[in-house]
Amino acid sequence: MLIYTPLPLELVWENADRFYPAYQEISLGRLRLQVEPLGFGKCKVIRIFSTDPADYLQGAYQPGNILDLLQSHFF
Amino acid sequence: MKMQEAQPQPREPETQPEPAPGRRRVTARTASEKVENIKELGQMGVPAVKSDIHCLPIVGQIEGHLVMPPQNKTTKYEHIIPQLVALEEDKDIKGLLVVLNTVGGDVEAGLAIAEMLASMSKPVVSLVLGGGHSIGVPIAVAANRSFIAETATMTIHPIRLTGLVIGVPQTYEYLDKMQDRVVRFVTKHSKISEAKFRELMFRTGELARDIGTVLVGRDAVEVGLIDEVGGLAAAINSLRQMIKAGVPGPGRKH
Repeated sequence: MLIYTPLPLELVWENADRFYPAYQEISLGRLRLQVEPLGFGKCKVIRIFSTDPADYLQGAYQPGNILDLLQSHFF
Repeated sequence: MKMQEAQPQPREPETQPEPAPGRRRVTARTASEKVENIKELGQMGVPAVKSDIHCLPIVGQIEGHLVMPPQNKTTKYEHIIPQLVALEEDKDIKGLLVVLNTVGGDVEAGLAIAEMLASMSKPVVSLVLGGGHSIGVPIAVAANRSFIAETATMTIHPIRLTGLVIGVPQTYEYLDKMQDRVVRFVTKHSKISEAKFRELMFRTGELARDIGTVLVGRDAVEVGLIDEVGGLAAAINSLRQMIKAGVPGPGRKH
């Protein structure tokens, strides 16, 4: 990998040695998502695994969105 | 649309009367969504109008093969690329506005996004706001027409001095080859000549830690990198005109 940026690399990679993201994969309906669990049934969307391009335009599953898995409509 | 029926929707939108053609309201905001908006964005509601153009923001670092530590704001290529496929496919979407405020990032990811934009069949307009540095440059020039705000800057500098290669022996020849990919893309998709671009890239005296050039607003237009100085209205106008005139996307231009 090659990074091309005017920012100093020490700034870009600061804390990289202490950054261990714990991601999990979950299924929602027919969608498979990579999420970061936040506790209390909430999780942050990191990535969508789908071959349907339209899935990537859905507002609710954009990376960074927080899903509440305890909300009834997920069951 | 048929796909949405088959999906569980996390936030069920209230049903709305049949929308008028053209611009239509999509959802009524639920109470929890309003609270979420206040919390996250500091405002009550975001406009709920569905437009026939899409806006793709390229912000922060362009993240490639490695997950960056959380102090970086990142644009993830694995999400942008299928989004572009969806935009290309969707019959309701007529054009794309790419808004850039990026400090560069992964060369491969940046070039991948730029190549995707450059091969779209729908008109694409790019607008550089704040900054469009390093690998942001090929993304900005990939559009049919590119705009830069008067105060926005673009930094052009060689890859080798801030380059980091993981798992590949980093030789001068290797970095030079990587740099050629960027130079070739930029010169192919903009009016700047290769000699001029390289001259800006290796200019000394402007950047303290590096060699290179900072182009501010009009400078980027004068060297032929960007087409026009302008803001949001100019960019949208240009896109609307292209849509109206049936101009094909950058993919058909080259």
